[in-house]
Amino acid sequence: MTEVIVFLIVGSIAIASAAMMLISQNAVHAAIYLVLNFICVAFFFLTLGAPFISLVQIAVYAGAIMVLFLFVIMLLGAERVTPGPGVLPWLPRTAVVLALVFLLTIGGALSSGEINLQTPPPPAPQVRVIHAAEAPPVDVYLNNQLFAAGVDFRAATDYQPLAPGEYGVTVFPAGADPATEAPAILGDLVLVEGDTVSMVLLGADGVFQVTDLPENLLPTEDDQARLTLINGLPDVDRVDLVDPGLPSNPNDDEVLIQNAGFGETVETLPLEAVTDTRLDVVISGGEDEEAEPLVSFRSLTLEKGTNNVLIVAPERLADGRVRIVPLHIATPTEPLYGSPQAVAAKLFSTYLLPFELVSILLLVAMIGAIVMTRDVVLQERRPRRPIVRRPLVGPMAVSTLVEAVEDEEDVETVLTTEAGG
Amino acid sequence: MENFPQLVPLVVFAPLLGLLINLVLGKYLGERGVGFVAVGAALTALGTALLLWMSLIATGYEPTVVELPLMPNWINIPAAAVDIAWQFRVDTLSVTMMLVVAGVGSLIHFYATGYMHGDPMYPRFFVYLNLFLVFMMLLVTGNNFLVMFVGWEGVGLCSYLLISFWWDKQNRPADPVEAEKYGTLGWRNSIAGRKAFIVNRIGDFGLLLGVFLTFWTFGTLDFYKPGEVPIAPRHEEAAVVEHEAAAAPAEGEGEGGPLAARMGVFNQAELLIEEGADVDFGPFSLPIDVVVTLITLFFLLGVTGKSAQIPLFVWLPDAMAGPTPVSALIHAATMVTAGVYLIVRSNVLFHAAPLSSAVVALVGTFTALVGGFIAMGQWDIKKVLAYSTVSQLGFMVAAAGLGAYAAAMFHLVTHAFFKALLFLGSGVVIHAVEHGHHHAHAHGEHAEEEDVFDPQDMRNMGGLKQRMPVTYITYLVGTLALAGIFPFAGFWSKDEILADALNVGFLEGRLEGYIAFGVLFIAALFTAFYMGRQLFMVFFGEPRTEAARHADEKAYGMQAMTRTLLVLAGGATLVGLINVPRGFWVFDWVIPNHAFTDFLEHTVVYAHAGSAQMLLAILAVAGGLSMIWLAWMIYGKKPVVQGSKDPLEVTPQTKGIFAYANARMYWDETYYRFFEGPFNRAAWWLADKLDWAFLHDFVHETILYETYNGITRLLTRPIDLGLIDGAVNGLARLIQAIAARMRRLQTGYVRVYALSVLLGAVVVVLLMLAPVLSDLLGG
Amino acid sequence: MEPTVFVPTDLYVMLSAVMFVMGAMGVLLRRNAIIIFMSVELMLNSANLALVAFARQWGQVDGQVFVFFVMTVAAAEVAVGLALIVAIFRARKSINIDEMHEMKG
Repeated sequence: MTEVIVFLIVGSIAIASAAMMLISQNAVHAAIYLVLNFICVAFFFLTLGAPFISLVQIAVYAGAIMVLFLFVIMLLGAERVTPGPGVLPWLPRTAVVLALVFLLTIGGALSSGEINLQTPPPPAPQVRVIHAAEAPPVDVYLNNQLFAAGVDFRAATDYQPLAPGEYGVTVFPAGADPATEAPAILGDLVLVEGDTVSMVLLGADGVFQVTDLPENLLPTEDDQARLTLINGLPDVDRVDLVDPGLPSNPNDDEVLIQNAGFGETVETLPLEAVTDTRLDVVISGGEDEEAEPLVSFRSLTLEKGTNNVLIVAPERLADGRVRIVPLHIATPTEPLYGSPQAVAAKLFSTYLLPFELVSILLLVAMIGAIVMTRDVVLQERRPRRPIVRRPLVGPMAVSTLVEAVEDEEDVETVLTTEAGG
Repeated sequence: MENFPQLVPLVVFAPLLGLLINLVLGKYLGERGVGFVAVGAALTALGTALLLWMSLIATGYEPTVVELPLMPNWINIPAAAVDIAWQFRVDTLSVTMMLVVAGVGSLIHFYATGYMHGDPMYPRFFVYLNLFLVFMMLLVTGNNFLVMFVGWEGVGLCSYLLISFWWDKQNRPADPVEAEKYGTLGWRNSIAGRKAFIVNRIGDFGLLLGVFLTFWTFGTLDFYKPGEVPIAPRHEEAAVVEHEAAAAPAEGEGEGGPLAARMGVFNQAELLIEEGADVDFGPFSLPIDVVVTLITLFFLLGVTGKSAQIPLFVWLPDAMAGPTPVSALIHAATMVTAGVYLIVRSNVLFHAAPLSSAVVALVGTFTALVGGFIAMGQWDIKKVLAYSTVSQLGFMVAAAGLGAYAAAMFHLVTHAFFKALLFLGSGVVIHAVEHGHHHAHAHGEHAEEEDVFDPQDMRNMGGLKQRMPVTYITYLVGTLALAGIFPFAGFWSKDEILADALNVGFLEGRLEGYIAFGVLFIAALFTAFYMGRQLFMVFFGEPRTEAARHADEKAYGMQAMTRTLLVLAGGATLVGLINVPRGFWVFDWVIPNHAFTDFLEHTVVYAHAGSAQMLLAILAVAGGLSMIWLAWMIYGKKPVVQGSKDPLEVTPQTKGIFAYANARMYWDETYYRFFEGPFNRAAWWLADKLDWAFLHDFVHETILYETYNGITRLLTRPIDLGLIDGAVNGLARLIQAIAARMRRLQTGYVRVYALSVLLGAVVVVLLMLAPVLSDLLGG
Repeated sequence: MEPTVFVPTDLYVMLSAVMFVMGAMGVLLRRNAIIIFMSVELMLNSANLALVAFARQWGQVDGQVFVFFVMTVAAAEVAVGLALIVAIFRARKSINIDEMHEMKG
């Protein structure tokens, strides 16, 4: 409620300053009122989650542009306009009527309740597939609709939006006909609005599973990354993720994630972003501290602002043996809403072309302003081109007319009609 | 030396380069520069011709065909089996022509640098002269009839351009006949050029038909294919065996595709005539000898045009309106001999067509007689020479028609020298008299005489011997050479023609031989007479005008002219020695007897050397001398005085004859009455009745114009103005009216626009929230 | 870690609408160009407020990104607009918006 009160106060100031700007006879005063209005608007920007825009508003608008205005007013000495002839007496009335119609329309529309501006619609669920099963490339079907085709082992697809609801997941070897062949992996997926889910295909030797890993793409804390572990080995009961610490000191091991069963999702772990570190995966409950880890993630870099999924997966080699491979899939999270990063990310990707155009426009405007304010432009008066009046009919038509029309008056009227206007 | 023939394109391209330089830069080069370029181009061609001549001697007179490297396929239409290459032919005949053209041409170029001095169109003149050389060289070097035809047409064009060179010349002709014909202020030179061009078109039409027929018959236009050897003349039995081997490969039909691809026109003609083949013309076919006769008759038509034979010679005398170097080069020495060249080049065809040969001989013979006769009655110094040229061309053509191809060519060469000499000499005389005229009138005489004074009229001359000694001597040499006086060049060539005519008549017993001999002998007497008359009228006696009294050959620019005369006089004296007939062994130690004939025989298969007819020679010389003596008696002893009539005109016995000759035998008038007049009347009728009255007045004015106007009126008044304009204008007015009201919305006040934006925003919000609000209101 | 909604979003929207209308009134009723401009800024701010409120309502950052864009464009607009005002003032010695209506039809 406090926020609404603040809004009302600041809004009142904004409207009042705008009104003062309108009615002040001195242009300098008007400009200063306008600056006040701009500052109020900047405050609203801040409350609306647009800190970057807010600061730009202060700096560029209230700062640069208004200074320019003041400068021009001072330069011209045009604080007060010379009273001109009272023309267009009907215009203020019409303008006020139009303004009222406008305001009534907007207000009516807002108050009708037809326009929902209270709660924003939640975003659509996003789904991707991570292939970590000991299997050839696969096609993934959701409710018998092809969702991802030809996904390779170790590969992760891009996120795709889906409607909320329940889905049956069937996985076939790549290129197989789902109508005739039996699916290799079966699973299910439940999606609600705002979900972001990674479908991880796991398993080996006939034991396969689809694990739905919920992900959080919201911004991380500063300098942090998120980490989770998935055990993709059906024949290993439970595993731990261990930070071995310094190699010289065997006693500083730190267990990060414990007891990750096959296909289970464990809690996502926020972690300081690190570079070039090593994490070991060991079998849970191992007595021997010195035992060799099951597999190691070497030279692992966890960048800040990323979601990192670590998967231990089986891979069949060419000679038929199965070995355990570590998979690391990092996904960047979204930047903070309204931050300069967020604006810049849009500006330099989706709106790159408009951005460039606008910069060219600025350049042109700058040159135009310089050219137009040069004195010579105004002093150089080109001689007025003489106005040539000639009939619109050619000499041939004239002669024909003269020959054809006996009385000269007729000719004259014809000619003047054609030449006139 | 074997590679020298490859230089032959230079004879065409050197003048071409010269003319291009003068064309582009002529304005800036000045007279000396232009003259240098033009003469240099001509001399380059001459040098090339000399190199070709040397290479011919060195390689045993082997003919060579040179392809133009840039144009391997000149005209190549595979679908029609037309494949005509632009090839140059270097053989003794073409080299002879090249030497004559380039030699005389160079001299005349040199002469013209002086003659044209001060002419405002100096560069243009030399561009034309070089252009003439280009085409003349094309004509004589081409290896097929088509290249030759290009040259043939080209020289015709140059002739036209050069006759009309002073196209704006309006001087009144001194001759009353011409004055009546052209009027007092006719564009004389332009008309003369046009006449030459049109008359030549008739001849060229014939030549073109001949060329077409040749192509149809033989499938090719090449004289000989590269490397082909002429088949031996059949009438020389001894030679047949000798040439059998050479001809043999050409006879095998099976080898190397169709005949046309392997064999030129002439060898094919020999073969086909021997076989007696028929020529297929689609619906009918003709025996080959008939076809060849037709071809040669068509060629003869071309010859009569280009070489000024009866009946188409009428253009040549008028062509003398052009500058004198042009008359000398084109209308005396070279271009007009193209016809003779054509006959000699096609000697195989003409030999195979005795009928055509006889016609050619008779045409030439009577041309010689007519030309000589008319020349006796002319007063204009150049007209005399022009008819003399007609006459001499008649000699050549007659000789060619009689089978004396070598004699024809020989006369062509010698004639080129002495006739060029005479023309250039007459040019000097005219120049000097004109100069004297200006000189005399510098002292302020009345201007009336200026208009009528004709520097070419021999009646205005006289007594120039003392004033122009160099001209006189060289002119004398030319006269003697033309009159056929021993030992000048004309003696040898004319005597050979007469001797050949005699041979044809008495030894072969052909009628045209008798006729030709008799008539040509008379023509030769005429020649001596009119030349004597001219000589005495021009150079002897007392000057008959002020102009002649002030004539002078040492004025600026005339050195080039007189020097040229000297060189040509030397040529006119000595060039006859190249073909001294058998029997004059005295001259054998200078140049072997009939060397020129031997030279030509390598190309002209039917050429043969004449033998000396000592008696005939003496008779001819005696006749010539006596005619000169006669001229002296008439014109020399009692010189014609100014204003008096010609002595022959006065004497009752000769009065009629002279009038007939003076009127040029009414040849032009006849043509005018029978061809030009009816043609003009027909043209008038067509123009007046058909074109103007019918086409213009009736069809255009009445039918088309009125109909169109009616339709237009209909379209204009109700449809265009009423309907279309009404609709368009109405729409325009409507939009105008709407716009006039709508424009008030645009107040220009920003706040109003802002209000409208706000209105729009409110409406949009209302629409967006309408479902919610309707629930609210309804509920 | 869902952000808790303390103040209902429709309050913010209502506040935003009121500010928007006030800005619009400023644009329409005032004649001083600079104050009109400031009113436009006020309207933009009200829109920003609504955007941020909706962003929080839906838990999406996109709304804030839009606000960022709006601010940038507003900065550009202010730069150009003030330059225009300076230019106009230089030419006319006044920034009364009603004195500029030459562009009428």
